[in-house]
Amino acid sequence: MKLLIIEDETSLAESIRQYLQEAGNVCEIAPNYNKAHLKIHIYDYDCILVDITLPGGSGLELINELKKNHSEAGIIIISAKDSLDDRIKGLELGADDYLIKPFHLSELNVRIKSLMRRKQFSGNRKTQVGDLIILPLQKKVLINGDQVDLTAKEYDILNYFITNTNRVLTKEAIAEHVWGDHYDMVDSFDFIYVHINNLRKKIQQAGGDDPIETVYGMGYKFVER
Amino acid sequence: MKLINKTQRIYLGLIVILLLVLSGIFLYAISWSIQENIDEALHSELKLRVEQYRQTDSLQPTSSIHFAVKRLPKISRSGVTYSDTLLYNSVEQENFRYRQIKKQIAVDGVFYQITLRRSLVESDDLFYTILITELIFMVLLIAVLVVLNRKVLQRLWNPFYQTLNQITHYRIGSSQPVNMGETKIDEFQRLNNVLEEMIAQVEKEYKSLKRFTENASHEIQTPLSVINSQIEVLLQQSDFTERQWKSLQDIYRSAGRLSRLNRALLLLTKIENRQFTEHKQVDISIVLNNFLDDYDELIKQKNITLTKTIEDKTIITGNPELVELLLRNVLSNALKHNMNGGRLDVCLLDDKLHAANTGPEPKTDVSHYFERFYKQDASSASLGLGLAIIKEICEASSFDYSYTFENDLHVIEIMF
Repeated sequence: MKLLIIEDETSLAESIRQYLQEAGNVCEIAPNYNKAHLKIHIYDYDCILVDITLPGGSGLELINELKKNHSEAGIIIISAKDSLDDRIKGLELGADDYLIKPFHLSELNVRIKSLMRRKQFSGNRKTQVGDLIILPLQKKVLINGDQVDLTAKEYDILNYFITNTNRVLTKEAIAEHVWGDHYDMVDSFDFIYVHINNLRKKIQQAGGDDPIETVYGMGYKFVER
Repeated sequence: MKLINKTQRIYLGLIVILLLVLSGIFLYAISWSIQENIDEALHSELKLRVEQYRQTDSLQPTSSIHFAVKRLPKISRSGVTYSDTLLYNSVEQENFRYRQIKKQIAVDGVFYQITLRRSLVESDDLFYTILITELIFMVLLIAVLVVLNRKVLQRLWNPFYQTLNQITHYRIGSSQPVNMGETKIDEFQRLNNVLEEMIAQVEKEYKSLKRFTENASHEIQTPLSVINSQIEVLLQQSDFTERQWKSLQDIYRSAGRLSRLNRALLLLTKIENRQFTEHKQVDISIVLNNFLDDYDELIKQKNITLTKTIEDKTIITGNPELVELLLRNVLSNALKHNMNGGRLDVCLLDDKLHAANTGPEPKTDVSHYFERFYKQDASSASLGLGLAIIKEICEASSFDYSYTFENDLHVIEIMF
């Protein structure tokens, strides 16, 4: 997949690029308005990450331009601004999603993947990882042909893992994904722990190998078996 | 009391007193004048008669209503005396008032007392007619004055009430231009001008404050994002020692905490600065039920007994974002500090939310809970801002709130 990262904070842009490239994506970076403006007019991208506050112009104008040129790229806004008004404005202009900084790279990854899935109706009707088959449109999980019975939150967590296969995911990241911004309001970490255990049990009961590794107490890693 | 009413009351009070006093004097003068009139007539008649007698020498004792002559042994009094008297009229069978004049004279060495009388009935009638006319006149005058006065006052004070109305509906940051209007009355025009200037100034400061908080947030979040993302990238490398992992973990957790802290503090500042001005009708029963659904698995996991009594269609006026935050904070507070196997009661009735939960006994006065960063358990991972946020939202939205600990239950109540 080809991505454009429009972000003026080089360190952040680089870490995003690194994370996404590891999954086989091609990423370009545009650190200011002018360079971004140039790139979007010359090249086509599958997905564009836009920071609203840019030197030389506003990310929102870039979104406008993209929409004017009937670009089919998926647009995700990454911004430090956390107000409802900005969210609404961004989405009204034509962005597909809005992520607030700071975010987990794994979360960004999931958002990009699900955006791409929405955009390319034809692709990804089925994802296979190891002996797990996931049908995202029906939210079903099959192991060796047998369906695994998962609760909505368990499915969500599993999906999150699979999208970030072989990456270390922190408990915070998982909790934030499941609960949203307010994950710190409840004892979500115990909750996550219980759910991951349930997930493991269910997968094993259905005949699969436990694909989730615990990493040094900090988090979990989904490993293809 | 309203200004117009007070003004009228004072005015009317003074007018009534004045009118009463003046009328009193007027009526007294009339009455005196009438009497003077009669007395002069009596006196004239007396002089005439006395002259007559002196010339004709004919004075006979007689007694009638209007004229009486009596013989006296001697003159006991000189001069003329006036007085009022009541005489019985046998035809009408009642007493009538008369004015009489008496004089003692000597004619040919014989002493007589002459009394002349005139009926006061007509003059009394005249007086009462004047009195009643006077009263009616006074009442009418006062009535007309009241009405006219009221109308005039209302017209005059109208610009003031318009200005008052405008100020009452003014909200900072609502970006509606405020036009106080023009008026010919100097004082009110000045008031309007001063107010317009003041509002313009306030709006300016407010905007710059808003911009400041937004920029501050942006500035802080950006380096935090860098920290977070770099750590995540680091995490992917698996060749760390356990000690290095521990350090990484500490950095990661702290960065996360900083982030949440920053966001929460920013939120508090925004609420304090009344930056959430948009008010709408919100059905809180729906919001509450949604949250309880969200937390359903958590509640089950902690074995908490949930009792909920939620009245449908409880609609209140408030900022939707804030109301949502408020309810979420109330619920999460009740859950977070709850124990396994504890209980949670949520009751929404008559625009009042009652949330009770079991939890550790408070070590200090529960009013401290609303202070920022106050945590009963200092080491816990919570930010200690949950209740402070609840307090700020309630104060900004004019909801009443209270926190008590009774029957081993922590109880939060919010009156919308």
